[in-house]
Amino acid sequence: MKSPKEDKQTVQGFSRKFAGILAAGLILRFLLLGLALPVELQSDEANYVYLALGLERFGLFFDCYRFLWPPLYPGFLRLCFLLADEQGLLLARSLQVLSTLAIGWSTMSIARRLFNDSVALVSGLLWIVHLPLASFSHLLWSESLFLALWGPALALLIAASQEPNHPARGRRLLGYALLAGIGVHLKEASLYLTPLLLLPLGWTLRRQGTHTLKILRIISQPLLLLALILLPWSLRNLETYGRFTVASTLGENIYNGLNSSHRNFDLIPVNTALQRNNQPILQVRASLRSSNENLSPWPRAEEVLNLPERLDENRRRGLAFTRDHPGWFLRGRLQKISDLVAPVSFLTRHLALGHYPASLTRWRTMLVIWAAGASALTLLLGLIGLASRLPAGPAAGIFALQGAYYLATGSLVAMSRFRLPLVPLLLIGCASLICMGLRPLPRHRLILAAGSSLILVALWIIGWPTTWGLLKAASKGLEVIG
Amino acid sequence: MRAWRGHFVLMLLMAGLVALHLASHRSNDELRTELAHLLQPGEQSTASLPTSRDTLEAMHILLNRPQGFSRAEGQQLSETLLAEDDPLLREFALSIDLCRLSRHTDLNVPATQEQHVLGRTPPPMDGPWWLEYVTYRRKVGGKQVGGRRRLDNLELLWYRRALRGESPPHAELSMRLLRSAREARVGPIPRGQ
Repeated sequence: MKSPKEDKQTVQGFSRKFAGILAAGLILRFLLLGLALPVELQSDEANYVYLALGLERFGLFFDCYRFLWPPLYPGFLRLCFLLADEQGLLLARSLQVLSTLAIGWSTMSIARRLFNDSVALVSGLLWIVHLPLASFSHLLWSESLFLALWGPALALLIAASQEPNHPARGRRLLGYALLAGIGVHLKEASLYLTPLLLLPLGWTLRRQGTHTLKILRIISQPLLLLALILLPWSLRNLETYGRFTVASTLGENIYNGLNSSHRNFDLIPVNTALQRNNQPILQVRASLRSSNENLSPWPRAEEVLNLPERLDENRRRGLAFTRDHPGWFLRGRLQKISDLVAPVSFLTRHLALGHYPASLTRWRTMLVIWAAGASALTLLLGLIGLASRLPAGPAAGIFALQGAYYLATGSLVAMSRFRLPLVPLLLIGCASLICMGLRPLPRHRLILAAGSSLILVALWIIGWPTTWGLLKAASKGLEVIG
Repeated sequence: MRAWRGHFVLMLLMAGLVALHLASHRSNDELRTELAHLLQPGEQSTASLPTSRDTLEAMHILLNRPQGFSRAEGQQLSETLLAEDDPLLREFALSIDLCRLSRHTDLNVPATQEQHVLGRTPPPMDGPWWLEYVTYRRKVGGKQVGGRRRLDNLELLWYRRALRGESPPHAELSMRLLRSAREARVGPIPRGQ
């Protein structure tokens, strides 16, 4: 047994390592930012900037015609323009890099709570070197800021769920609702997940014999805070669009996800560039193309003037199309999930598109191997680690619900960016596997680990033609296609 | 009851927000009255006009509400705003709110806005024109609302400088416009698989 002095030294040693890992992650991300500048704007990045300019120039938050996006990310960019004018985007990227500390911190905190110090430190080391995740800190998508809120929110929720009788439970749950609620204003996708993740806590309390009314009181308080955070913007949308909603992206996502043309946004910009160069485009496997059934895409409801009504009409058309073509729907889902787990990333997409300067592209082959390797290993080992090592209890429920939720949203529209909220969890799974191995384990856990990894490999095989094309284009340039 | 205190506080705050919303709600008729000087320009005195930002907000709400505005009214308002002296009102006419409602050409682009921004040969290519061009041409939403291509770093830099009254470099801008005109003739690039 350790003496109190030894205990203190152990804690200090862990804290030093913990801080060292965060510092190393920060340095790597700033280094990456320095090498990546001036990275060109792409797709939604330019859209976010446009909305921020509209906010600055007119004081109005315009919609995107096809989406009603949440307001916080354009608001953040607008603030950066206000503070730094021409250097506004540099400021935004730098603040995002700083915010990733919260991602590293929360990943290690969750790992420490669920496993031990070693797993926490290894998950931190993996967070440092996860290049696709690191690269989002200098890209102008809301993912970094979202994860900087979502990670700590999850850490608080897991703490509250693991220790439901702790005096800090109420504060932890309110902290969860506060951070997750602000996160919804960055990324609407977590809107339904936030209340859903309170279920494992309710289940734990129920098993402890807690009275139903008390469970209701405990669970409803963070829900009320969440509602309070979402209310002002929802009321603004009610006043402007006549619809009580935080954001509205489902109609357009249904257009993209339930249509006859296969849409994967890791692929589309690359194919657009190939088409512009009169080169053959990258295609999914022949058996997974809608052209086999001569399906033509259904059009957007451009004639409907009001945005929420237009998106509703898109949704109706998408669902009608799905009812008429159930076979295509099922085959399409297979391709979507394959897109979701393909070991490509926006870093590799940007490399393929030539958006990075020579300072970064001189190491492009190494970066592609690093990024693809990090994605693939994190997915495979993370899945095996979580399936085999994650302790049963509310945290397992939270992990499983989050995994299922993003798998469900990814089966509508998929690309590598949409799996990002799962990456910190997978890093923890990876670290647990590295530190604790596979033995001794109950048989059902081994079967679960083997089954999930086999499914993952099968999905990689399905997506291989486009994955290989994208990685080849990223490491050698678009001219290698064809 | 003590245990439910936090709940009551949160619900009270929500009720306060809803009350604020109801108190500040403006009906379509009220918004139309506020905007009368723009909707019926000939009939209204311009002596006590609200500030531009208030006008923009009222228009933004009215233009986006279900049944707030018809296409014919949108077309009329676009023309009125594009003839205004206030640059902010002209730029607003090029935003998504009015491009959505404007009459469209055979190529499915907003006719009045397209003509205003790109109809002059050569275009002015000064700072105020660049602000209008970016607002019109770089918007999110696609061709039917006037958006073509997305903003890039250099265009953003020129936009920031135009906000301070500087004009984009003439030669570089000419080349860029020429290139985008050439690319526009190539036609739409097929998406998807």
